[in-house]
Amino acid sequence: VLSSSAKHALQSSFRLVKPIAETAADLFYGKLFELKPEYRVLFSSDMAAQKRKLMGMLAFIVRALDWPESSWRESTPAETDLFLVVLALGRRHTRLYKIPADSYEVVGKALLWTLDQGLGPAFTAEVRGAWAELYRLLCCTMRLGDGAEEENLPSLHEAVRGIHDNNAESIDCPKTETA
Amino acid sequence: MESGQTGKITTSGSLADFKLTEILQALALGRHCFQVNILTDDLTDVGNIVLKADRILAATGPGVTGKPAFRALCQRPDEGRFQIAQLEPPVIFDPLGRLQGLLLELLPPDEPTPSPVLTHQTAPASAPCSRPVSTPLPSSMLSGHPQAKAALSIAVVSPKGGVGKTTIALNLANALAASRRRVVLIDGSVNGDILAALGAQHRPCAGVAEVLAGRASLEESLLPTANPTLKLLAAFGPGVPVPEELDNIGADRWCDLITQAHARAEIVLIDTPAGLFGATRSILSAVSHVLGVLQAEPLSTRLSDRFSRVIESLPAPRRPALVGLVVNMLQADCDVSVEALRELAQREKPSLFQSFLPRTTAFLAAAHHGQPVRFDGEHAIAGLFDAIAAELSKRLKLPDELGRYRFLT
Repeated sequence: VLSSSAKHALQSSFRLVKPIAETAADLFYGKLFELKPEYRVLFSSDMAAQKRKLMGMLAFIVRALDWPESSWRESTPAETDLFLVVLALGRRHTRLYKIPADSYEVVGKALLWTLDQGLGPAFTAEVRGAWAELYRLLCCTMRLGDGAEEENLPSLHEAVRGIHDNNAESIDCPKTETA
Repeated sequence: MESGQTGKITTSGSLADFKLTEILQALALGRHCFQVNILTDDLTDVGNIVLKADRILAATGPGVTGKPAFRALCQRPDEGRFQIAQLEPPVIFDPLGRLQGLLLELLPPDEPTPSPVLTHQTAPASAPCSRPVSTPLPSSMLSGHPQAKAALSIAVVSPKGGVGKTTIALNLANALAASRRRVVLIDGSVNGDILAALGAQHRPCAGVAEVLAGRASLEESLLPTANPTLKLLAAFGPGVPVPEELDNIGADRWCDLITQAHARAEIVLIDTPAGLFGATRSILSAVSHVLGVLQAEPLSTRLSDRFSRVIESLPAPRRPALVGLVVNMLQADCDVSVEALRELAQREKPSLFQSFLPRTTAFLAAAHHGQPVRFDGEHAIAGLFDAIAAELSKRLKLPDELGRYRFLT
């Protein structure tokens, strides 16, 4: 379970990432393709747009964690609910894009490495632990999405709208999707 | 509970692929109301749990409801199937509690305290915690990556031998465990000093060498101690140790071992070989923190800056934090020793722990009896270790609540 201090660590560290978003995205995909060169062909040639989508997704995730404890009884629209949005993302990854299950591990490695490089000393053990825990839960949610019924799943397009100027469909849109 | 299934979102899967506690934690990322139905493989209903955000609203199990049902369902074997359905939240509800708190209650109760000596290697059956409440990332994801630094792991090191490093590691682990923190103490020295200090060098059936070589599991290699929250991992099992097996362990393999140990403890403490290079350097590259030990004598004042220099020489992703320096073997009646302490205090003031350990025959007596000082009737010395443990906890910002918060997350 993500504790309040973990959420705070995620939010405060992501605030430091925002000003270097472009560099962070460069680092992430550079590392990802270094670890798995064969993934390069899965992505559109327009990597600039892809990188904006990545940062938009991260911004959505961090923002979706930010709600006051006192409002837990209140409902939220499906398109702003982190679990539902990531569930839908996982379903698309498996069923539509045929992304291999082992990609979660590689993407996680690239993400933590990127944060380490980008944040430097600010990437403390606590911050690393918070991101690793968040990523673990996101992976679990995406894997749960494999068995989800498609009807009424929220669109990431809606989720990311307003978070980023460039409306994104997925952080990992394959070439076939974006072509 | 007045609520209705909306039919909006459903998903299902096998509990062999997902632990129930993991599913609940994932659902708690969102804010909608869900019911998780637990079924047998032939789809017979076993029970269900309803949650909204991170609150458990209700649980129904075989013949029970409420918290007992939640416990029973979470502690079932990893078999059967689950279905998740989105619900309209009930109009009136009184939550059983927050998910994190309820998961904490699943932690095993403390084991009965045996006599104050190491019990035999054949460990007692584990307390009834059938599954971890938090699944770490795959260990392969940690390879070549300083992921182990996310876990709280402390290497006890010194720039030279004979400064009492093993004594401090053993007694500090004991003091941390006495404050109800769950600790695994790993003997990282090929000399096997920890077990020798306890007069139990013949007891381990396996240790670090066997676990990393795949000849034994960590679970079966951990030695129970008189303190139920402290477990020991010896350097090696019976027979003559093969130095290469321990000396050639790389940082990645230490990371894996620490991660495994951390799944069973809040704090992983590692006693290292003398010096800051060789095998110690691999351990330094794998841990999150370093605790330095210095003797209150002139040579220490000349070597005290080695900690920071060696740590800084490690690549940034592998660099641990220096949590502090403990001064040992202070001789209050010896001017040279007191002067050395004064000089250390001037040079390393921010790092020095406020409690200093004296050179005393109490350690000799405890070693003679094969016990930490706490069990040897040396309450004053044990109190110093308690103070160091408390200061360590403060420096690491560990939560006070029995240390369990960090254990869970």
